[in-house]
Amino acid sequence: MDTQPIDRLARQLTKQSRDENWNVWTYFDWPESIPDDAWCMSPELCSLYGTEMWSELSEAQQKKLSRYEIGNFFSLTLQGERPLVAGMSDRLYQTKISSDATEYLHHFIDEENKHMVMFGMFCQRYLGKVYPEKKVAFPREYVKGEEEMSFFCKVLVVEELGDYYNIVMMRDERIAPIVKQINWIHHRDESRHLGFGREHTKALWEKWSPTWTPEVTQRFREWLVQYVKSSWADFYNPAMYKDAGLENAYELRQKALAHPATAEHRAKASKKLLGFFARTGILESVPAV
Amino acid sequence: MRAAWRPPVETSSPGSTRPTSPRDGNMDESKIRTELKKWIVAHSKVPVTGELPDDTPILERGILSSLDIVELVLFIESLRGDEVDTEAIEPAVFTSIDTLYSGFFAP
Repeated sequence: MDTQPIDRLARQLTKQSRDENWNVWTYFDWPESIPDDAWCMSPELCSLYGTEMWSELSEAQQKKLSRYEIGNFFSLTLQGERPLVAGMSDRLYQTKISSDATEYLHHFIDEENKHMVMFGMFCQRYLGKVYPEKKVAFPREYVKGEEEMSFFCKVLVVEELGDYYNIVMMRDERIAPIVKQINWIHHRDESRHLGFGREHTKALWEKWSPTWTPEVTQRFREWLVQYVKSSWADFYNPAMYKDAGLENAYELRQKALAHPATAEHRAKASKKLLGFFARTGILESVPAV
Repeated sequence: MRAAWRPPVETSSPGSTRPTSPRDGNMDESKIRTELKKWIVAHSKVPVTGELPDDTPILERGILSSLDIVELVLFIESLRGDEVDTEAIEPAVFTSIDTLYSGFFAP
């Protein structure tokens, strides 16, 4: 039996996934609608919170915005999970992935698929749409190990930022029960994925980064910081503001993104993620995002 | 001094693609090209000296990175007053100001 730490972890996570297996098609009792006067996202997580743009809204407008904010958050998570599932599927049964890790990847993919079903059902039922992704894929060249590191870092970014929001909302008694429940079940699965992702990413960094030139390492670090910033910028979606009935959606977004209160929120919500990158040496220090 | 943002009012129904940008309909080709150029220079990863020709390959020269493209798309949407379906466009449309204009704005 393989005694690598990642394999021991994979066996343990596989057992947990089996013990906590759930059926996405029957798990939720979807309400017909969510009342207009309900919070759909914790107010403190709404992208304008702490700014004058937020305080100038009536409570009814804030609640309406919270409905599109949760739709955007669930859409972002869904859109982030699509390439993640594709990438994980590609890695199944590759010789560089152990049999224990492969077994766990099957659960990882299964759970991510359930999450996409769950987020898609919520968005379609209560918003009538999933917010589309604006990313455009450009081909690029990597040195050995760089693409693998990039992939697992992207996984961590999507999951760690999402998990911060999940933990706040699964404990928030003010928000619509269905939203609370989705955040709870997502967090339960993601905490396993994150445990695996952190260990695997750390092992990849220790394997590949010593083989890279300082220029490649620098390039990779610059890309990662940009990727985290870009992921945060997606939380300030002009389409979401427009749907909530707010004027000048693009200008509103730019102003919200540049506001010190939102920068403080991003720093707080990114602390665990960036702390991991800094602690493992993947980043030299914690950047401002 | 307070910025020009105003307390929100109801504008359009969810999912509507009806243009709401104040810039919509007020810009000719030359103004659009100028706005694109200003945005690209402001977000450039490398020093841009002098005039940036409209056929400069902005990604190939490292002026923008692929991670800037989402921001550029949102800026283009604000200029157009309409959403961009990124699934329906080819990456080549982001080659230069010329291709951006013809891909997103040309009648």
